[in-house]
This record gives sequence, C-alpha cells and structure tokens, in this order.
Amino acid sequence: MTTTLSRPGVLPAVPVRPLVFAGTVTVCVALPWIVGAYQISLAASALVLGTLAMSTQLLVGVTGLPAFGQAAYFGVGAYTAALLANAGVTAGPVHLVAAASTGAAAALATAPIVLRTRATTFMMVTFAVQSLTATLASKWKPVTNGDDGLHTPAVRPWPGGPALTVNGFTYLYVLAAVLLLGLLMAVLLRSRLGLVLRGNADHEQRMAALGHRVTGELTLGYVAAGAFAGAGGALLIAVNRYVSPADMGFEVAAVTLLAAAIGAGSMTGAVVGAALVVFARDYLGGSTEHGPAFLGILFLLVAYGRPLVKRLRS
Amino acid sequence: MLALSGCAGSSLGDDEGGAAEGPVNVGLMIPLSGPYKAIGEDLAKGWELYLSTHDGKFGGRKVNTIQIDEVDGRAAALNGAKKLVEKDNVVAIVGGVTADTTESVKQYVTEKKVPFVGTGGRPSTLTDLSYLWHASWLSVEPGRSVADYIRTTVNGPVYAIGPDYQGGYDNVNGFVEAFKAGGGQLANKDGKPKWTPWPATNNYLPFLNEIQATGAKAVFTFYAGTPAIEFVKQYKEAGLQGKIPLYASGFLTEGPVLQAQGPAADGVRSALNYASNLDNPANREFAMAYQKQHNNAPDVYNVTAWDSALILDRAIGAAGKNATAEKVNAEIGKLGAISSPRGDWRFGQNHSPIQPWYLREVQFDGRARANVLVQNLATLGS
Amino acid sequence: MDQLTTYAVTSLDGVAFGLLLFTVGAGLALIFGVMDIMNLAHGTLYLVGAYVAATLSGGGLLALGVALAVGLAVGAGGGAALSFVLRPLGREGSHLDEALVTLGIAFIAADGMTAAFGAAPMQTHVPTALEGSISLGIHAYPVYRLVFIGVAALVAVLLHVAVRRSTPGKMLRATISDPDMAAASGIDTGRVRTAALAVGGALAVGAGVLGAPLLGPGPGVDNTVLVLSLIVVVVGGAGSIPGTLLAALLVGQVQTIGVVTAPALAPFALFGAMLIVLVLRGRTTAVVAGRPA
Repeated sequence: MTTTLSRPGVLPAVPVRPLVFAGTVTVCVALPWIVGAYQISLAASALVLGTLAMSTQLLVGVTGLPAFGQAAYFGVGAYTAALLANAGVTAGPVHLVAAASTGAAAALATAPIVLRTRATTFMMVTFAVQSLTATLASKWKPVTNGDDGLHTPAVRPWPGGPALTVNGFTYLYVLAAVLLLGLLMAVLLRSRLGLVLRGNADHEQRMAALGHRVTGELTLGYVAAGAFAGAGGALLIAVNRYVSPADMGFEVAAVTLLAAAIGAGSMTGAVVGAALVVFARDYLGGSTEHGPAFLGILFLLVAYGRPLVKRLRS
Repeated sequence: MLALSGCAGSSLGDDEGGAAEGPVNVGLMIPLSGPYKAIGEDLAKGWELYLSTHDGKFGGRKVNTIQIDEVDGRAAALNGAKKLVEKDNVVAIVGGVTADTTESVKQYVTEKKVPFVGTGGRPSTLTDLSYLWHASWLSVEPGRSVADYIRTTVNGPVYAIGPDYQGGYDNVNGFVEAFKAGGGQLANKDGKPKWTPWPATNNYLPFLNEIQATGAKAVFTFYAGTPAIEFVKQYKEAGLQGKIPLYASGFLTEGPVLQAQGPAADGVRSALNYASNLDNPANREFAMAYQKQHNNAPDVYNVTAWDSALILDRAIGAAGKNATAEKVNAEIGKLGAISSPRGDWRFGQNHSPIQPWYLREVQFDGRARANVLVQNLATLGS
Repeated sequence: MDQLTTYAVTSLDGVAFGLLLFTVGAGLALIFGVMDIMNLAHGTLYLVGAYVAATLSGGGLLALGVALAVGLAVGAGGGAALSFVLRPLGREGSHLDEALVTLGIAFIAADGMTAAFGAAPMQTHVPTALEGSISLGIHAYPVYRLVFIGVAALVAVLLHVAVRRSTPGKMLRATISDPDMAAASGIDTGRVRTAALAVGGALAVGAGVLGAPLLGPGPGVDNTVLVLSLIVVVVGGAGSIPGTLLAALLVGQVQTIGVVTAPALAPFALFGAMLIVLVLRGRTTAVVAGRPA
C-alpha cells in the first residue's frame, strides 16, 4: 500500500514511509544477532517503555489530555503479571491479557474523577493518581511485598514453552508483543473511536453540540489507554522479572511524558522517543552519577525543539 | 559481538564472566546518590585505599573497578548488577549498604554464578548462599551483641524504635529478641517496637514525644544515613539527650553522620564490630594510612570495603589463570582467617564473618568527636 | 493527661509543618494562578533555599538574615525567570511542553545541587539566640519552631491583606480573572505577571531558608515538597489564601499526628482529600481549579 499518489506520465513515487517502517522492523528483529546481551536488554526495556509511551500518547497526542499518570496502570498490570507468575502461571500471553484487563479496570475506576477536569488540572489530578497508586503498592505489603518488590520466575512465550532466561529470546518475545500491540493501536486509531477522540481534542464543545456523549467517549479512550499501559506492565515482568513501587514512580511518569512528547502525536514516534530516553538515561548516563542531568537536558531539548520544528514545518 | 557462539556478553547464549589474563574487572556497587551517598563515598575510600597501597592489583592482575550507583539498593541495584555481569563481565560484585541490595540481586547473581561480596546489611531471610558473601555483618548482630549489656545495666523498661524496612526490622529485632529472651521488658505500649515510616518521614518529634510518656529508662534504635542525623538531632531537640540514655546499633553515629550530628550525638552508646581506636597491628597500619590520606579517622565502612578488597585480592590470586567468576567464588570459600583492622575474622557457615563486637560511646575530646571504645561485647557468628 | 499533652505537642508540630507548606503552596498557587502552569520545579526552589540556609547561616541571627535576603533575591529572580524560560514555547505552547521545561530544570538543578553540596544532607545551624527548647508539660519543644510558627503566620496574614486590600492585590486578582479585560482597563498585565511570579518564587525559596531546620536540604526533598505543595494548592483552591492556609494546616496535621497514629493511612488521607475536593467542586471546564473570590 503506497502513501503517495502517482500521476499519469510521471514515474511512480517511492513509498517511503512503509519502506522505512519495514526496514526498521527488520533491523529490530535482527538485533540479537548484532549486539551483545547488555544492549539487547536495554532494547527490551526501551520496548516496554515504548508501550507505556503509546498509552500516554493515546491520551496526550490523540485526545489532547495531558496525562501524567499512566504509570499507575502500568504498575497495576505489572503487579498482576507478577502475582500470576508467582502463583505458577508463567505464560506470557496470559499475563498480557490479564494485565491489560486489570489496567483497563483501574482506568475505568478512576475515570469518573479524572475526567471532571481538563488541561493543567487534569495533569495535576493524574499526577495525584500516579502518586497514590505508587503509595498503595508501597503500603499494601501482604499483596505487593511493599517497597522490596516482587521477584518472579521467568516468563514463557506460550503455555508450556521454554522459560525466557536468555536476553536475546526475551527481547524477541517482547518485540512480537509490541508489534501486536502496535497493530491493535493502529486499528483503534483508524476506528470510529479514534476519530471521535481526535474530534474531542480539537474542539470539545463543538462535539458536544453535535450530540456526542463526550464524557462517555473520553472514558472509552481512557480505558483503552489503561489497557495498553497494563499490557506494558506484563512485558516489564517478562524483561526484568521484578517489579517494585519505583516502577510506577515519579521518574517513570516523567520520562513517559518525555517519550510521548518526542513522538509529537504519533505512536511510532512515541516508541522511538522511548528508545531515545533509554539510550540517554541508561546507556549514556548509566555509569556516571549525572543521569538526572542528562535526562533534564533531554527534557529541555524536546520542549524547545517541538515548537521550533512546528514553526519550521509551517 | 556476535551471539549464538557463547562469546562473552552474547545475546542468545549463556557465557561465563572473566578473561584469561591481563586486567580483571570488578564491580563496586555503592550509593552514589540518595540518602546513603555519604556511606557510599566511605566504601569507595576504603576500597581505593587498599588498591593504592597494593599497586592497584588483585592477585597480581591490574584491577578495573566499575562503579555502579545503587541509589537505595532496590531497582537500581538489580539493573546495575545486570550491567556489570552482561556488559562489563566482572568476576565479582562488591557493595551494598542496606539489606535491600542483597535482596534485590540475590536471585540474579546466583543464576549467573557471579560472587557477591556484601559490604552492608544482610537480610536474615537468605536460603541459597552459594554465591552470596558478606564481609560486613548480619543485620541482627549489632542489636544482639549489646542486648545483655543493656539488660543488666539499665534499671527499667527500654523503648525500641526503628525505620520501617528490612534493615530496620533486623537491627531492632536483633536487640528485642535477645533482650526479651533474657527477661528484659520493652517500654513500648503494646510491647512491640515502633516503626517509623521509611523513607517518607524525617520528622521524628511526634514519636520522640511519645517515648517520654511511656516511662522508658533507655531507648534502643537503629537508623542509617540521613535519617540517623535527623533522629539524633531531634532526640536532643525533644529534650531527651541526657535524660533518657540512647543506645543504638552502631550505624546511628558511625562515619559521616557523626560530623553532621555534632554535640547532639555526645553520650550515645552504640554496638559495632569496629572502633577507630582499636589496638591491633592491622588497624594501627590501616588507621595511620587512612588518616594520612584523608585527615580523618576511619570508620567501619572504610574497613569493610578494605576487607572486601583484601578478600578479592587473595581469591583472584588463588584462582590463577582463567579466573572465571565461578572459580573466584570457590576460592573465597577457602580463605581462612582474614587479618582485618577490626581484628581477625573468618567466614562462618552462613558466609558472614565470625567476629568480635564492641561497645562504643560518642565522646568529644576538645578537638574531634569520635566513637570511643568502652568495652568488648560478644563474639558473634557461626 | 500525659497522652493528651503528647498529642498537643505533636499537633503543634503539625502547625509548624503546615505553615511551612502554606508558604510554599501559596507561592505555587500564585504561579499557577497567573501562568496556568504546573510548576514542577517548585520543590527545587524550596531545596535551593534550604541549601542557602545550610551554607550561609553560621549561627547568628545576622547570618540568618543574610541567608534570607539572598534566598528571597534568588527566589524572586528564579520566579520571574519562569516567564522568560517559557516564552520560547510561544502562545501555542502546550501544557506538555511547559511540564517538560519545568521538569528539565528540576532534574538539572537537582543534579547540580547534589554535585555541588554532596549527597549527604547538610547541617543547618539554628541561630544561637533561638537554640534550645522550652518545656511544655513533660515535653520540650524547640524555640526555633515556635518562632517559625509566629513568622509564618505573620506572612500568611500579610499575604491575605495584600491580595484582598491593596491595589497591587486587586490588579493581581483582575489579571488572573480576566487578563484581557484587565489589560483593556489599563493594568500592565505583563508586569503584574512578572511580579506575581517573583513573589511566588521568593515565597518558595524563603520557606526553604527558614524551614531548613524543620525539613533540611538533601536529595529527594524537592520531590517531597513538590508533591505536598501540589496537594495543598489543589485542596485549597488556587485562588484563595485562607483556603490554601486551611489545606496546608490539614496536610500538616496529617503528616504529623496522622503519621504517628495511623502511619499506613496517612498518604491515602492526603490524596483522598485531594480527589474528594475535586469531585465536590464539580466539573471544571475552566482552566484554573479555582478563581479568587
């Protein structure tokens, strides 16, 4: 499927975007044969963060709601997967479905409160939701083991499959899952819900005047975002085999926002943004004590870069 | 760096850490940020002092120390351990301040067969010890060592208080269990220790106010890092200094926190496996070298890191050519007596030191404030 | 009786902490009110003040005075700089970009301060004249904290009077309510904004300088202060000084008495209050959580 028109008499244009996409996917699949164990585990972490970034992008870039708290639903999904794994259920796909469900349920429970606000107040409230959920994880010791977190056995790519202990194979499993999630997201964005969410982002009052049940539609979008975040949490367990309240903490929420911002409204951009963040924070800043400064600079670059890029484009 | 062929650091195959000859990589996992950074700096100083006085070599091989920031010993410690093993191919990981670090990495280092030499607290809940060693102490030991002394010296109930995490539980419960076993009584309202929210609060005044009302004749506590400074200062602010004797696990007043506490720390009695004025040949040499380099008396963190370096020096030397992490681990187990500034010690069955414990008191001699040896307590470990 | 005295003293401590949060929160409310941004670097301002106090205060009242003067200047400058820093984002600058800028500043500043001062918390000297404690029943309470309560309460009263009665206060409220109308009626909204930002920043840093003996400088303190002041602003309503004060005192009590009696519930009480208030306030299509009355 090409994304360009070809006029009669002119040579057919090269379909650049699909080619670039296909090329990137090929490189991603081939990565374990190219790089070493440490780099591959970073790549897997980037994919996990990318899923969380996609969830945030659905709200920030598509629906126009500046959500700071998707890390909360990410954490809910991660703890779900961890508890399942520790109870003997180690099949990855089961984790994904279960985590997505609990993430969606948590989002549904908080939606009525969160969607009473917009703009800056919305950001403050989602910040509170994220903080509160992290605190809950920290205090609910009987279930979450508090601040010490939960260590889990290795995940299996399908029921009865081999345990994923080698970094390269874990990465391939996560890649497959993320490609599937990306496909689901693409379908969502092209569906009626996607159009409606974009409409609400553009001009909410007009949508309401046209007879749309705005709150209901936004709730659907918020729940969908929660489901994606939860699925990301299940992938966190596959990669790290460990979850703690820090995984849904302030820093995670902040870098997720950054990744979505880098993505400038697009889903693939959000995943690329996540990769950039992991590169800057873990690869570059990992062995120095100045990791936070690297991140801070990246924040500023992206914040100032976006309006600049917008201006250059127009 | 191709995978599949079992080369070092490959993505799709298992491999062992370590190279044949030449320099050897060792991971030093310490807090470079967060509430324990000052302790991390002390660990680094002890480690570096050993290297600088031993030609920078372990077992005749040049040492590449790769420092990792473990922050608070949780997620950052696990991620750091992964980087050290998978990217840097270390033959051993040294470090940790709290028991949390050991908890975080224990599963991983055992799977990857890389020895972990802990320099800090150690949880009482370890099962598979094959790759876990501690050059420090068991977190229950400081309290346990001084329980009898407190019971026989203090004429009345003792109030127990500590931070709400594994290190806190172990240190304070170590005291409480031994204390109660000998017939001692806690002054706490429900007979159980009071846990303060961690790391959430640095405001201890509400808790200190309660202590007075219970009629306690002494207080036993444990805090480390920033909270230790706050607790001791607020103990004075609440008017308890001089009124109700404060006993503690040694970390309350050890090292950098003592400077920050100032006069508020005077008179605090603590139990630890080191005092800077210990009179043995190893300490005389070590303390002098440290004093010359840093213009300060050494503390237990310096000593623990020094001892860890000493252990690896001997183990890597004994492992000889092709010293893999697995081989180094085996040699650690065969070490025997270790000549340390804290006195001679050796690894016990539970991979932790069998060592003497000392009672110290914070005293100001007009020029400097220090934890001064009062008397020997017990020798603990098995 | 003893137990009652214990609670009373703890509650007093809660008042001190609450007033500290009020000062910081009032600054955040000002910034939120005039710029409609969530200043994620607000906790950083407090931390700067605390480090200034730790570095400059040498034990005497004069030293504290100097530290306060320096802190207020830095805070005013920092607050005013906020508008310059956000200007390149342009009018269409989204909330996302604003959050990123303040986050970026917060991260870099935190790293810088840790690099400059070391990550061990610094010792803050209380002026010798204010050292010591006075006895309240069987308890002793630090003199400095009592003085702090007095000073902070005075600041609260002055702020309230200034916002409600004085001409600059009226101009401020007009600018927040309806900036275009205010500009049309001749108010220099740009200068009002800059002034409000400067005062907001100065309040935060000043709270840090004076509050350092209560909540001292160290890594992570900026995050703590940010979260708590955010709760204060949302619960109190960004537009009213008495509301912010009430919210701050509530948070102070929860953080002291609540933490002693029901430590597991304390964090939930805070956030629960925040969410309840939001629900009760009703649907806000308006951009600000509350407007000055």
